[in-house]
Amino acid sequence: MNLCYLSAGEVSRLIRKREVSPVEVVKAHLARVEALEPPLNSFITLLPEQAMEEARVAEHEIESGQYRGPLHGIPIGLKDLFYVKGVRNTSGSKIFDHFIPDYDSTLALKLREAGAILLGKLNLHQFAYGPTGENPDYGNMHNPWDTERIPGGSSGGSASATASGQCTLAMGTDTGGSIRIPSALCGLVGLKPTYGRLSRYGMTVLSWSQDHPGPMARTVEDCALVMNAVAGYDPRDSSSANKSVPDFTQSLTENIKGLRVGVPKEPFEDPVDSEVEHFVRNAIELLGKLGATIHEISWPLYHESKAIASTILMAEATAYHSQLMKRQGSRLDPKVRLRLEAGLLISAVDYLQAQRARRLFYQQSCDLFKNVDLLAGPTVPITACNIGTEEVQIGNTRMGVIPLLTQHTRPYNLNGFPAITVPCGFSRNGLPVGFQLAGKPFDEATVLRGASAYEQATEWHQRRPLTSK
Amino acid sequence: MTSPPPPNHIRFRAFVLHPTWCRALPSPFKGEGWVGEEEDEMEKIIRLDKEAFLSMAKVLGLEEEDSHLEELYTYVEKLFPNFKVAGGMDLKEIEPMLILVLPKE
Repeated sequence: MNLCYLSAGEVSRLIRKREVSPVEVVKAHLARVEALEPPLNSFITLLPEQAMEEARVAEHEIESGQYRGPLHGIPIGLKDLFYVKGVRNTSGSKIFDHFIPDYDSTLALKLREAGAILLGKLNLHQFAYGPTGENPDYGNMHNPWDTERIPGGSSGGSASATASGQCTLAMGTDTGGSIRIPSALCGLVGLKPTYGRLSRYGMTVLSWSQDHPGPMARTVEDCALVMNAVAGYDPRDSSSANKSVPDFTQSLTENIKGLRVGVPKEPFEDPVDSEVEHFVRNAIELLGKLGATIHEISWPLYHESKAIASTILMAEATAYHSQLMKRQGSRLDPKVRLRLEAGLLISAVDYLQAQRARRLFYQQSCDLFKNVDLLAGPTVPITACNIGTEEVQIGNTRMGVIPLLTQHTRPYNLNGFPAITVPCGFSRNGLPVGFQLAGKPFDEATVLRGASAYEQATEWHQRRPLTSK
Repeated sequence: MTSPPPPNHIRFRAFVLHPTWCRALPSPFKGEGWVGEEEDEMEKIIRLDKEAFLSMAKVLGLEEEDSHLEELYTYVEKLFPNFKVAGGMDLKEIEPMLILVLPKE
């Protein structure tokens, strides 16, 4: 039994029955980290002593009958922008190499209270401002399915560590696709919950109105388990929603008979790699065979939504980082610096027009969901490209990698609706493909239900990279 | 009494009145970079003028060596039309979504 490739659900059942102990689980994962790092470069800060100590405490608690729940004793990683009291938080920049927060982010605190064991802080695109997982300060992250290739970003370390079995699951953040893109490129399940569902308190900001924290895991069930532990109102986050929180695992076993799945035609009007399109269309077809009704629909503002989302993102990121940019611009990743400086050229009128357009897009998104329960489409239109690649060829079109990676994830950052990516195939050269399901605001349960039904009917999520190590 | 001109008209005039900031170019335009590649369907699109960019850069405190400003201009020039996409939409009676607060139950 390879503890490193069991899901959190599987490990927790073993821990609860006392067939394995948290100490064994954490030891196995630390050995895995030792075997795989630094080549994957998933971690910025590793916490082996602290993790072993927490594992011993968890073992003692469980032995004495104080079982906290399914995350008790589960080794996790946090993207290095979730504050953890006493642990440095770099946000992927050497400027913050020695910054140690004196308080916990709400999510770090909730995960600790649930008994999860923090193995370390995970590498990311600098300030979460880029979708490839390249980082000149702490080194590029690598895709465990092919280490010459990008894992995607910005939560690249979270994806590579989870996909390679260095941690059971991880937390990422998603402002333009930064959970879903690396999850798709590394063969994981990644959930961006509804804006407001999970607290942003204690996270480094990229864009106040589009930052979404969420889980990245190897199964849909694991995402649901994390949601059960961390979802809920937090008065310290101004955008936190005071909504009732369901048991997200409840819907996982429900069938999808009669579920209405809308397939907007617009994502397929953009260039999509033929292999990716093949797998995504097969996935949608399978949802139909499982009982869902499939409806081709149109989403008129879909194409415009990407420019609207990025205008808002760039203005907010520049506002947040303005002092840093002025004082330490030369120490920033040059590409991140360009993005931040470009944000200065967005006028107040541009920003407000984008926020007006956002309301229109939001209303249009709500209208779509009057007739469907889920929307389906590609997560990313390509598989992982080689590190350093600027452009790729899709059919007759040559396109920039960065806009390609974010083009189908951004719309759900703009409207704030929940969206998940699930593995749905592997290319001829062995690279994962993901497809995306999105739902109504605060209806993560249906998103998870659709994703789980698909996952249970396929075996893509059972494939593992780097199994010889 | 005549009715006020539609918002798009006002917007277009505003740009015409400030020719040093930007100038109109025929579509289609394909943007690049972080913003994403957008098929622009506006009849006219806006492009950042280099001279205007340089003076704005100075005002914004971006005085740097020429090569950096050149790189920034090349980058921003491609993105600039995307910043104007929302302004080209029909947003009559639409208020900005300044904080995304989703409806309560």
